[in-house]
Amino acid sequence: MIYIFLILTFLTIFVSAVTTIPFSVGLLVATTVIFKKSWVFFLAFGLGLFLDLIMVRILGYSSLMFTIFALILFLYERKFETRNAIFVFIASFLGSLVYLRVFDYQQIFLQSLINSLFAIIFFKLLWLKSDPHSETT
Amino acid sequence: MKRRGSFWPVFLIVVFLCILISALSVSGKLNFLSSFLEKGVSGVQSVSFRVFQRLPFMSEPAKLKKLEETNLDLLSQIVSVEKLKKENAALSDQFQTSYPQSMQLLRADIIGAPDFISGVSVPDVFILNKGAKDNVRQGCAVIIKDNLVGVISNVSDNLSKVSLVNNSSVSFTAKTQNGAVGVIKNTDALTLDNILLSEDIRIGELVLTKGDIDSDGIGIPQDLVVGKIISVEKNPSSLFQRAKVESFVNFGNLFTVFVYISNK
Repeated sequence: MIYIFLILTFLTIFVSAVTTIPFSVGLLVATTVIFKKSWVFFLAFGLGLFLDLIMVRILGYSSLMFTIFALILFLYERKFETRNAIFVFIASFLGSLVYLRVFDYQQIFLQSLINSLFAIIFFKLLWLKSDPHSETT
Repeated sequence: MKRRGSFWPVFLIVVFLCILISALSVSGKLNFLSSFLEKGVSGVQSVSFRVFQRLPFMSEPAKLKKLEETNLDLLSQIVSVEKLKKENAALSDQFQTSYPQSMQLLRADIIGAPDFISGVSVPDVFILNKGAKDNVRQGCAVIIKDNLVGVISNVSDNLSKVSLVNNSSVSFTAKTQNGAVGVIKNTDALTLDNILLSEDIRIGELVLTKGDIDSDGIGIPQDLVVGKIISVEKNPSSLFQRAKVESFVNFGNLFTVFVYISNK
């Protein structure tokens, strides 16, 4: 599973250079939901730092946003079941929407929608590799 | 419901790191680190951009590219001829001519165009592989041939961000070939706004920059091509008239641009 995760991370970084669709948010949601480990905060930090670097922004803004977003996912996960595609879709959509609005991008709904669909693909891939016999909803 | 180990300590550490980095970045004390990281990141970004630009469904045919380049060349020649005509007229009348400004061009490669989907939507931002170390400053004009591409909006040590002329944040004064002055804005489309009703503007007329250079020699030089007028909106009850402008530059096909930097 770690290889799939690494490949997805690399692809996210690679694609982030040519599009404003925040695939990082989708990856973050899928990773948080599947792994449920605190190192996800460091992933949020790294992805945010990379986005700030490539977009020539003040360093740390995206990282802070992603970290807080990961915290919200963790808090939600304590109360409710999050390992399902619907949660991944909604969380990615809302996370993308906030991110794109804060950084003043265009066509935020369409971009969020595309990102949410990719988030589900990320989630399914990671899920299948983590537990191939189980079904996701 | 399962109980898991607390994530709060890790969260607080990462948040502290984020705030620390933000504070240092704002104060400019992190330049050495960002400069170092940018080198690696710009490499990845450059490779990624070029790979995506070469994808068949994202790039235009070579013949079309060639035609666009020829078109830009011809436009440059038109502007040069117009400029020569004006200079000639001025010399004939008063033996006056303006001195060339102390500007120079810096070649920069586009390493990122974080638009919606490359090749599908039009980019409104470019990331260049030149930054403050190469004398690029915020407000510098970015051109290709005699066409204005955009204005530098953010600069770090090794990278810079260009807001293209079709970006909503970019606004500057421009004039038509006949000398009608207005302001280039971008609301829904590239528009030359605030033109006096008494001015005569026509469809197909070229729109040129009026020139906006500050005391440090940074800004937009005059007589760069912004585009051509494709429609005119003139309402007798309004104070001003406006015209929609179309740029000649195909932003999706650019790989290299030039930054006007000051010699100072």
